Amino acid sequence: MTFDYYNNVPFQNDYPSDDQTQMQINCNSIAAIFDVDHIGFELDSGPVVVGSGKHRQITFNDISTPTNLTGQKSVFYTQKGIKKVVPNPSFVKSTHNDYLGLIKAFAVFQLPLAVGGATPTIYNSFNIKSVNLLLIGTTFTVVVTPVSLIDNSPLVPPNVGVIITTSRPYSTDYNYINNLQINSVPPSIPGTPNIVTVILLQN
Amino acid sequence: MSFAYFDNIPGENNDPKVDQPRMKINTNSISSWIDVDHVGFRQINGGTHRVCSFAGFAAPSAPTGVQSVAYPAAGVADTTKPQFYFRNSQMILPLSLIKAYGIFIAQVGPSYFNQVNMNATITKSSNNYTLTVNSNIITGNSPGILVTASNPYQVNYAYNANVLQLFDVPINSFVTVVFYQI
Repeated sequence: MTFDYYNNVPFQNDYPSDDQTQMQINCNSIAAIFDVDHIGFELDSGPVVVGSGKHRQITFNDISTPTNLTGQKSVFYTQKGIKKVVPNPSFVKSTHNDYLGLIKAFAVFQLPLAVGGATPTIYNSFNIKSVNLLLIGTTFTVVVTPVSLIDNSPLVPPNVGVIITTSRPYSTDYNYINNLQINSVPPSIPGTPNIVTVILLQN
Repeated sequence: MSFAYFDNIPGENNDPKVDQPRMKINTNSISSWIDVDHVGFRQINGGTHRVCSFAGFAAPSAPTGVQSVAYPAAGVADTTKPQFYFRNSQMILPLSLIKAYGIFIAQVGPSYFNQVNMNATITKSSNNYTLTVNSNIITGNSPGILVTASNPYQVNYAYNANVLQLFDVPINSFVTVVFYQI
């Protein structure tokens, strides 16, 4: 979308009627361009508007490279990721850049009892397609598969950061090839659930 | 940078030529003001953002209903520098909590496969590894640190002055470290 606009109107020596068309175009373009990401004006021909001037969302048209930040100044912007070359959100200040989109997927789930079957109870997750269990002896192999959003990047070891914590004692043992396989995870025991938290990171 | 702007023009009883200079200034100021953070007029995708610049700290009041606000405010560890927060009707979330992160393989000649805000050099001594966070990222000596290795590992570390030492890391493990601070 493009909004037409005429600078320098009204001209100094024009009759108002000379510039009326351009001024009307400007008038409408101003209202329309504010409306893209913001709550715009309440037009006399339109509905009641509440919250004029606030954002609806922030749409980034491109990546950027902010410079010359000092003191308390800061910028929220996007830059390309390293492994997956798409825009990622960033927040930069005078000292450094914070990468806001590092966490790509997340899940917290409870393992069943060793005799209770092989279905985890997923309490909360994001960008996770599935969590599957395989009981081997007295422990579980847990396979966590992220959604295709992550799959279509070459996420093979060690391109994905993996953080795993469990509520029962466990020394992490995993491999990651397209999905996360966590090995020898102790099951829940009566009165003591084993709750697993998994975070996948990538820049 | 500031842009001049004249309210209340054209005046009701003014000859248009009286208001013409100020109306022209307004016309140009509107265009320039939008250009600061947005894609401006006569450009593809006009109205979308290039960046979202903050002039200083903000302290928005609690939104109501489905309203929310993203804003910069002082950090906790360093109150002089902005951190990025998100506030809805019920809570304030720190968006810039992760300060640094890296993945490497615990082996001879370790290097990062993916990292942010980490010095590129990793040193190995026996099965101990020394990693360094870039300067000005962490304030003080108490950042949150999460470490996970792909091979069985009882996490054992020490941190001081941007330097993280990981002890007794299983050989050939994929190791992820994440530093948190607000």
